[in-house]
Amino acid sequence: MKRWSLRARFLLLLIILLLAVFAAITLIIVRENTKTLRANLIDQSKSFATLATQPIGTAFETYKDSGTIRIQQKIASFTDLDHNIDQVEIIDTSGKQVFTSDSAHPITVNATAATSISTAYLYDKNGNLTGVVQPYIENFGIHRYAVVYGISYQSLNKSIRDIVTFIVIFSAAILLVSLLVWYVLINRLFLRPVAQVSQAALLISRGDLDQQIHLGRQDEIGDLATAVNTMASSLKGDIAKLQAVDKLKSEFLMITAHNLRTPLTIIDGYLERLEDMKPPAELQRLLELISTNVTRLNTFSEDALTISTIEGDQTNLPRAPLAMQSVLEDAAKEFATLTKQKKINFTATTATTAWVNLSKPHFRSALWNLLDNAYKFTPEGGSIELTVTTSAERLEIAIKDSGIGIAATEVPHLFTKFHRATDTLTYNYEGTGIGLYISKLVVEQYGGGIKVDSTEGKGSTFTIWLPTVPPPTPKAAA
Amino acid sequence: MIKIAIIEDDQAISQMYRFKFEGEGYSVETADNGKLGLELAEKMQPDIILLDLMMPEMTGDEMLKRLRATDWGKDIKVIILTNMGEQEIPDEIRALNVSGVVLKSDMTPRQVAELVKKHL
Repeated sequence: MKRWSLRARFLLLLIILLLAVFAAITLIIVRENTKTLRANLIDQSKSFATLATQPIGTAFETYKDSGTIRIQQKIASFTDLDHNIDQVEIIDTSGKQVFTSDSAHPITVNATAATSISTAYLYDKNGNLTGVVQPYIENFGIHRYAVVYGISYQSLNKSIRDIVTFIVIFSAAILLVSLLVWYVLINRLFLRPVAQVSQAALLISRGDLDQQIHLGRQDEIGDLATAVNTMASSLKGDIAKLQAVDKLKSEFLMITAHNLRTPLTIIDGYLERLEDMKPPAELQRLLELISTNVTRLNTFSEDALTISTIEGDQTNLPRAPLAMQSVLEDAAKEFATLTKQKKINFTATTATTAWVNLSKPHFRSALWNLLDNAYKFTPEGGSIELTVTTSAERLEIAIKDSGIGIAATEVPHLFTKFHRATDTLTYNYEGTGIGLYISKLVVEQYGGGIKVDSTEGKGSTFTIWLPTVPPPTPKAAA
Repeated sequence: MIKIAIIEDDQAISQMYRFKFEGEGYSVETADNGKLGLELAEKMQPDIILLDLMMPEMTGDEMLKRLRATDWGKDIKVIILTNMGEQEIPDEIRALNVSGVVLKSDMTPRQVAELVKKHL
């Protein structure tokens, strides 16, 4: 849809309004004037005809034998007195023209009018008076001729034209001035303050909640500005409250995760001690089950701790240069023992000279989450491949699996907190749904990124990249 | 008999390590903070100290500094127990002749015992 600015709409509205008013005024003025002018013209023509017939008739009688030029002159001296009479004819009682001032346009006069001894009027088919036939009565009442006057409306039309022209010029001037005044007025009174408010609202929507609009007006727009100001400050208050709650939540999560650590470590310790005591097979099996679940709880508490650390303060994760090859080798070695149990063919190429500025446990958990994910979604007999690409400025680690793959619609949600690609109803894979979120948080903390390429039914490749740093100069051993 | 001093404010943890090391045939004593730890070390003259860092009264790093300042304590082997990452241990602590760093949640008692054996 075409966008019409309020400015254009208001101006258009004004133009239409003024044009309508001007047109109405013009119509009324022209109508009234035409009526009056026409009536005057007709009255004047009739009077003229009454008064001029006798002298014209006499002049005709006197000069009819001396040629028409003299008569012409005589008649012109009369018709000069009334410009609405543009033609004079003299007819005899049979209607035959005996003189005309304009032979190109003879006036048709019927027999009744020609013979009438009183004034007759000629009308065109619209009922407009076009001529007056005035009998010329000579001395002793002899009626041989009649004088026909042709009436012209030219002067009337000209007067009307002049009036219309004047009105149009005058209207155009008024229109122009009105538009200018209107434009300035709506701008100042209405559009500019509204623009100010909408500009401020835009800034507020972008998060700049300190925006306050000062219009200094006590009207509807002033109310709007006040409402926007109030909205911004109450939003600010709400956000501050929410942030406080969120911080509390993060702290609570952190304390919880932290307090889980020690007892879990202790339980782990005693479990190990029990296993050392070479218990009977059945007890050994139970101990393994307990151990597996303690590990799960441990992983969860570590993940929760990582999330609360990163979410709590974006710059909080510690970092120091670390040679990546040994970290990758260790992880691959540990992962290989897992994949062996599930008969997954795991290959790892971990050779790299890259150093990256990060913390080992956090990176390890980011990497492990990806490996663990591949493990969970790759069926028995499948394959998982870890490859490393080192370039001048970055290290890329790709983990490719032959698992169930991820639907394209799921990919955008993959790295969000508590998302699981599997349908909850058909859910049969273990996990809390925070693994990939953590991997993403961690690698982004260290200036890297994560992406996934996946074909449903064929497998997925998760790739993380990290910026490399030059290896530190070796310190003298303490 | 090899003597181990465990200086750790969380008694559940020190107890677990005591259980492990006594099972391995060590002689184990524990203390709850740096101050008591220093007294224990002087009295006991252990072969190795497992030292927590964050403790009340006197922190582990403070105790280590004082230990290294004594004649009798300057050569006792010390392994740091911590919840921080290995990379986060300040260099000034490392400079105090630390044999190893154990991330408590990351190592089982078996692994800790192996580390201790390695350094004896």
